Amino acid sequence: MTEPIPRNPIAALLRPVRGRLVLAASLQVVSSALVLSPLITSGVIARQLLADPADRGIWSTLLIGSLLLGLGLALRGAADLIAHLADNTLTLILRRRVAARLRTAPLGWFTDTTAGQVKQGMQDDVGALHHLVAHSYTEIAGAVATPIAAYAYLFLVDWRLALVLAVPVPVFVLIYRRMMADSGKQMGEYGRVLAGINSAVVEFVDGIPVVKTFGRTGRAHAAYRAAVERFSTFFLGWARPLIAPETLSNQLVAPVTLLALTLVFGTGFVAAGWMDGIDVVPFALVGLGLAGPIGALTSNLMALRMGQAAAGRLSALLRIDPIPEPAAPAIPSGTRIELDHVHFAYEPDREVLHDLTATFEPGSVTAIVGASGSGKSTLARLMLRYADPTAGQIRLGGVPLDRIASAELFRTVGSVFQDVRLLRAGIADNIALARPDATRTDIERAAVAANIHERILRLPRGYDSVHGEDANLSGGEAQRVSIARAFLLDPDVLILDEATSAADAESEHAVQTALSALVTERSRTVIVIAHRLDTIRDADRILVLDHGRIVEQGRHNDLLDLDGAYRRLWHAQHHTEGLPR
Amino acid sequence: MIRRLARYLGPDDAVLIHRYFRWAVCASLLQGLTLAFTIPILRALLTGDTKIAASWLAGFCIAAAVSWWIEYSATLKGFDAAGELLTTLRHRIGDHVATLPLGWFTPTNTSTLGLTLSKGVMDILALPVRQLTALIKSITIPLVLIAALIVVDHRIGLIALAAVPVVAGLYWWAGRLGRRADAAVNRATADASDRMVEFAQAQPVLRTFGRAGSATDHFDQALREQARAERRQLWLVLPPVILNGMVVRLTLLALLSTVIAFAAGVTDPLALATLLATLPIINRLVTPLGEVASHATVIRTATAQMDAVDAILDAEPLPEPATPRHPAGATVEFDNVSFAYRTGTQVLNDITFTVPQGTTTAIVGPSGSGKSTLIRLAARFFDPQDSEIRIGKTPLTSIGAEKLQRMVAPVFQDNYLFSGTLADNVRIARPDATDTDLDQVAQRAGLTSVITALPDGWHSQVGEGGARLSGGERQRVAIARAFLKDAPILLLDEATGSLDAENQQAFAAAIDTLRREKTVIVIAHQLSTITTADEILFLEDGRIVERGTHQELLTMNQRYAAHWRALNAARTWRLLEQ
Repeated sequence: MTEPIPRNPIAALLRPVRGRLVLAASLQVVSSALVLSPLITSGVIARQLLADPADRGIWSTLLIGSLLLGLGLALRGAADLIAHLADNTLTLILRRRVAARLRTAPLGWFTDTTAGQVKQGMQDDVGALHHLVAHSYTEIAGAVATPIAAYAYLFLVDWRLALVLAVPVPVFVLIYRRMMADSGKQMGEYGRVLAGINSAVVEFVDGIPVVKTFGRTGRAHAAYRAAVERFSTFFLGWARPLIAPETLSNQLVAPVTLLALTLVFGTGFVAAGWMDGIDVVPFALVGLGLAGPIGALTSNLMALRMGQAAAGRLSALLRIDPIPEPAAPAIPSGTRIELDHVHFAYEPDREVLHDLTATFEPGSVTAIVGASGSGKSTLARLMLRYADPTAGQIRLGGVPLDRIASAELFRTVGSVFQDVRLLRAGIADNIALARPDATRTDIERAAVAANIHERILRLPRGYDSVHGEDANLSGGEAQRVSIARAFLLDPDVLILDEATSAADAESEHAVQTALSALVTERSRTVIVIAHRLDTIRDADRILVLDHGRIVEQGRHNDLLDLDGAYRRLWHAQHHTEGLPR
Repeated sequence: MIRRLARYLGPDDAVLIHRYFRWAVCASLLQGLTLAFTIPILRALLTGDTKIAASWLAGFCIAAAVSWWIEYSATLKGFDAAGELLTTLRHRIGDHVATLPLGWFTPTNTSTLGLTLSKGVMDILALPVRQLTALIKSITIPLVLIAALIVVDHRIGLIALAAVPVVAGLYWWAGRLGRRADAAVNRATADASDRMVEFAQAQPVLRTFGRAGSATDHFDQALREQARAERRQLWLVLPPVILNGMVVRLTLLALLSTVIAFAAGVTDPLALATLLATLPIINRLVTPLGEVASHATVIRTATAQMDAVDAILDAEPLPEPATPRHPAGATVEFDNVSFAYRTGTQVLNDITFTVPQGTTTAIVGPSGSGKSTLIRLAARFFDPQDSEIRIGKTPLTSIGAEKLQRMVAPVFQDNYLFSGTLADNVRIARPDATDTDLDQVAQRAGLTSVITALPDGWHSQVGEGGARLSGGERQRVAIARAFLKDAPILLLDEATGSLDAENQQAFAAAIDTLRREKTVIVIAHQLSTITTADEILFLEDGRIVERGTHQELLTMNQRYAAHWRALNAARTWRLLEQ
């Protein structure tokens, strides 16, 4: 049930704070006009003084100007405050929406890549939107309003000179658009060249230790140098022709140019008797500030574009397909697991599991073995409903997994995998994740069974030490905490990944002993993904997977006698270690 | 800053940046002067004398035209300097890092290097093209105008001059407040996004352990608290933003009011006109001051990039001998070697051992005992402090990088492959190797099965960083390289955590062959490697605590024996035992 992509992702994302943004922008517009008041009142006062140098009225004019400026600055502060508050609200809304999506996404969705996407989304993209909401909209409003207010005032003073001063604006727009169009044509090529230099840099930087050890620095270096030259040639060739129009357009709206127009035409008009000398002063005061707003406008339009890209990515993150919960969940009867012609593909037409059929009887221990890439981990994850099979069914107690409520499924089926995740919470909370109501005695009993109790006692705050703060556990220790979790959950079905060698032999063996204890504690259905065949030679049954198919199954000795895939695997592992059969 | 840019360009091209700087300053001075012409023109207009106005106007127009032309030239000069920088800087950094010792290439350093070469260079480049010109203008023009004001009316000029440090001080203060607020906000955001990532990564655990509901509430509460905390930070964030907006406006108001105060009651029409004519100049003087702050921010970013460049260029290559000496044989000796990283933690202490030519020494010990550092010292990733490592009676420091790399073949865990074909990647060890040579080493390294499985065999592309091969396959490529290189000394890190059974077997077999012909120092994890080594060094906390053959150490029944028993237990463990 993919939701339609909103046509304008940024508008859709910003909808909750749209009203406040409009308010902030409106305040900013009014403020932009008001903060011109010192310049306008100076012009007015100049006129008063020329008429009567002793005019006391100038002081009240000055006071009014100051008050208006104060009001303008206050409104501007209010606009900033409102925009920042809107940003604060929006950030919370976005984070909660992303979190809500993450909760319902299929577990198979969570990989290192997607963790990167979440990070990019929460950090960079929300950051880009922050800039947009908190700053850009008000700044754009101000940048547009300032020159309009200034020109409106000048138009009242003298419409002819105001028209003359307005001339550079359309010319600027014309040149700027032509320039953008020209450089836009080359933008695609620029993207390619940029990607080229970036990957040359990555390759050079990452590869240099290797090429150095082989004394072939020259080779990688030459490729890098060539990429640098290519980039420079393109970049300079692209940018040089833009200098003239860019300088021209910048000069067009620069104060000197506008001043030149004001003075030349002003003098002319005064000489022609169309206006008084004093009428030129407001123009020289108010009419020269075009470059600033235009600069603000271009840089904020850039922020707008980046915000759009960010909004697009965030919308994509918010459109992850949730894994459907059954509308009317069924209760499994018993704990038998059946694979019924299960097929699975991560991407269409790249099937990794083909037509698997097998039954895991309650109370039995089944090992799944096979070379890396044979699909054993994928199979284990399907049984935990990380994803649904593309064809066929997996049943627990006679009920297909997609008709069991996930809470029910995970009460029955526990797992211990190698990629252990401890939460940034107390160690006791980490163990009691499955049973928040567990007493401290229960938790400690689980930790003792998992061989980690004593290590936890040695932590600064014992069971209350927080992972990542004062509890720095090694990989093997974290693994034992996760085994303690499983002890406490005490599931009828246990799916586990045999731990491969940790950094330390001692630590590795402690994990192994804990796993053995978990498996032999009481009778449960155990499915173990095995990497070393010695580990599981006593299993009730061994399934041998090869390229996503079950090619052999049986007990260790029977499989060896078959003289097939299992025997080859066994032989490969015992060739070097020379252990007895 | 100009000096630093000049240094990057080198003595031959430094003139480019100086030339640019001179033109940019000229352009700004002239623009200030042009603006100053406003005073006499307006004064003439206010006194109704259009003739005098017209003659000043002529001067104004000439000055304006010249300033346009100079500014355009300055832009071109800046562009020339930037163009030269673009190439030179990247080459300079590239050439320099190629000489740095392998120990320099830590993850932190390489990621900074990558960023500097791609983004950093572009940021620095923007200095002469845009930011510097803008900054020079916003400083020079107000100063010229103040000078002009002093000439016209020294009271106003001096007051304006006095305002400059006040404005600068206020901006500096606002900037400092702003940076402090930004830092706090960035920390908060980074923390929030870390929590989000953690939440995503922990989903399997949170859900499979069946407590999705309560954990969810907990997380939602954390998000709301985060938002509240961020809202409280607004009192930190907003004041500098608002202050920035106010400084220019209030300064402008103050200076304009000053002029008006001076003008009030002046009855001499010419004097009055002069004072009033300065009003627009006051505006032109204050506005750029407000822009200094924003230019300065951009320039600070570029300066940070320049600091990164300097840090890279200042890293020193290991000293090379003037006349490299040829080692007599391939015996490796560590003579009382101690080593500490720059951070100060002592990693190795008094390490002394000899690996006679053609023998194998296995290094065994718990993680963090200094094994990796020790083996890297032998490849001269770094030089040890006050001690010597010798190959064939010759200190590493006197052998010279080129000869040393021919003597030593390291096979570590980070087996980088560059994009290109598989053959290219193996041949890097000996560019003149024939196809037959390649096939031979592939056979011995267990790479043949990998090659036959690939669509284009030897000519298959391996992808950036070797991404199209698995970790085990990359490791076999590394061994093939070592075979092809045929160096007399092999340094080996046997960590095989990431390898599956089949790859482990291929790896072990290949190593076994290599060992028979070479001097080998190996960080050993395989039981067979350990038992057959000529000598075992048991390392703990950076010291050799036990040494001897496997049997001798077992007989001692100390640390090594305990380690061995654990290792053995781990290797022979059965899930269903008890």
